[in-house]
Amino acid sequence: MIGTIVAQASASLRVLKTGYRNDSWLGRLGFYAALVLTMVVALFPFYVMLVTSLSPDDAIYSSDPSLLPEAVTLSHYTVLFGSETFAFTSYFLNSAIVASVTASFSLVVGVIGAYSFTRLTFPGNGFVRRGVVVVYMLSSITVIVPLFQVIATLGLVDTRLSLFITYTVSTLPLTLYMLWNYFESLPVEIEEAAMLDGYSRLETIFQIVVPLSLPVLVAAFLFAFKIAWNEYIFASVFLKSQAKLTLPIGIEQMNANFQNVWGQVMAASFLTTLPIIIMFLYLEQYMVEGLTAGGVEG
Amino acid sequence: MVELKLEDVTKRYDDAQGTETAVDGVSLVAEDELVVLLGPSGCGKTTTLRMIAGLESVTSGRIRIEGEDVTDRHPSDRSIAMVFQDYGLYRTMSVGENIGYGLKHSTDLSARERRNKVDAMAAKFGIEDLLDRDVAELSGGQKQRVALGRAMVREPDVFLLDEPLASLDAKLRSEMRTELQQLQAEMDITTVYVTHDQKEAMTMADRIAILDDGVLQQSGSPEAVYRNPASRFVADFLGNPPMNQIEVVAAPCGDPDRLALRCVVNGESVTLLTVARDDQSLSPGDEVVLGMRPETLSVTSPPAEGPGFEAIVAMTEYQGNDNFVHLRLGEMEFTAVVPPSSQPASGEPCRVTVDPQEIYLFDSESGDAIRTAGESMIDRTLASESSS
Repeated sequence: MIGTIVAQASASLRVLKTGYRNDSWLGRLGFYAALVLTMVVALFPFYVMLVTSLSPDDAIYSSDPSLLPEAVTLSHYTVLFGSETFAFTSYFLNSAIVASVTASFSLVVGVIGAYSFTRLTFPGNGFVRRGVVVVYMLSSITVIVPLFQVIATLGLVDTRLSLFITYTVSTLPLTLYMLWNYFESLPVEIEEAAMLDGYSRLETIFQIVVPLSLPVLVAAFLFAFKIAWNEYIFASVFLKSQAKLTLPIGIEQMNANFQNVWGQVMAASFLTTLPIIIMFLYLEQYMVEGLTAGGVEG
Repeated sequence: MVELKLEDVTKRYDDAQGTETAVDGVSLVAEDELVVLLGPSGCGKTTTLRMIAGLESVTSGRIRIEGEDVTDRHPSDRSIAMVFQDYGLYRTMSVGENIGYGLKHSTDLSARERRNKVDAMAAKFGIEDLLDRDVAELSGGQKQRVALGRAMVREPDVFLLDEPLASLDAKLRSEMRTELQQLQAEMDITTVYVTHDQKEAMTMADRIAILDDGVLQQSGSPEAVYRNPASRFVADFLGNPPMNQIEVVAAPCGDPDRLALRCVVNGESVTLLTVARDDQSLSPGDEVVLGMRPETLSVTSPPAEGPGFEAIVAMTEYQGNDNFVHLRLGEMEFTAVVPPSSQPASGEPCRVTVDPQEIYLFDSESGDAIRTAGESMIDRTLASESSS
């Protein structure tokens, strides 16, 4: 038995090294076991979230919880949209505005920035590029205090602008990184041909490079949108008034301000997750192409 | 009648490793002709072309088109068009849009006039059926035609081609070569063509400019650079198989009017051939490099008595219309091109002779030509004229 496992382990190692698979049934079994385990760990919380949001209160707070819902109700959802107590719709709208604006800003700045990194030579190009990656490694909690001071000095506390700025800055490294990798794979002759055809550099970027880069632009937009949509720390520090709160803060406040609202909290959480999932499913085809950039035919 | 003039054009790159000179003082004039920039990879030929196009800045020197200094102008203000090796087509547009895209920006033609021009150009290149297709669906040859059409439709003063045939397969390449030649002759447009393929250069060029290490080595008609190479580099670069080059010493021989060209083989001095003393600017004891084109060597196997020298056949390569015979003389190797009927076997001794009029002599230190076969020919012509 130990011999079989060792053989399997060394075979797996060989697959990692050579990329060549020649599976035994045991290997396949291991693969599917690992797959199922990963799926359970990843999807179970979502399952609980969905089931809880659909269960009536007595089932949620029962001393004998069941994994399968016995009765299904949409009352938690109607409360979210119907009652005055929970400002879910306004949280949702706030998040949508903040995430869309941030992702769009990030994309425009990212396209121009990544283009200059890959196509222009200027002193410090490599230094700035590495700097971008390093900045991405910093966790937001380490910069929150100085950032708050900056925002306070600019008089932007409790404004959406504070989020636009900070989210754009924090999503930019990823956007830049994705875009410059893609731009590097684009043949520069196309842009040169456009310049010979009489187009300025800006026209070349927006009429030639951008249409060619659609897949990666979609992917970058989605990542920036997701980061902004889910962001909690900056929003919790910069925002004060109820009317401006984004979903993560809003849901947290729901839980803090009211007792026994798990059904509503889960319903809100589910609705928060939904747009990202829908966007991902819809744009997935572009994403994969954008993320596996490099194999572009010339 | 458009004249393109490069005056002492230099390109230097500054980077962390220091300064690198990619193009060093190249001066060149082209007027209504096809000039081929030829040289090995990294010789600066593409950089020169890109400077003419305005895609690369010029460190020093001037570029003039029709007498006008265009050195600092934007690429689109130079009245040039360029075709790239990898086509550089706009992949998000159709064939027709690709060809017409430049017109949209650089002219104030109406959409209808533009369409007519595009149609005419497409007809010229035989791609009129493809106008609505996506460029991604095209074959290499079709893409190249679209790229040519796109370049020509704007009726540029100067036409630049950067290894336009390098991505095509051999058969298509020779077809396109002929097509390009006809096109250039028909349109009579000043054209600069970059290639590393000497065959392309020889067949297409009105004039060849050979670059090495950023320096213009020689420019002239294909015949002139082939017959009168200015240096060992040019002699070696043109010709397939390349010219045989052997270090020899000039020495007196039995005939007081002639000098023997001798080299050392296995510690022994061997006479390769004798040349008339007054014919060559040589004196006894001079060390020079002897150049012999493979096609001027004649090989006799088994060796007969007579002029020339004896060598061993290393290998015979069958080429169809002729054979390449690889010969060995001591440590030295050289090649002869012989008719297909002659197929000496490996390991056989043979006698190699060469007409003294067909040889090239180069300075052994500088590599500059002392004497070339082309010059000997001129001498011969002069001699025959004066004697008649």
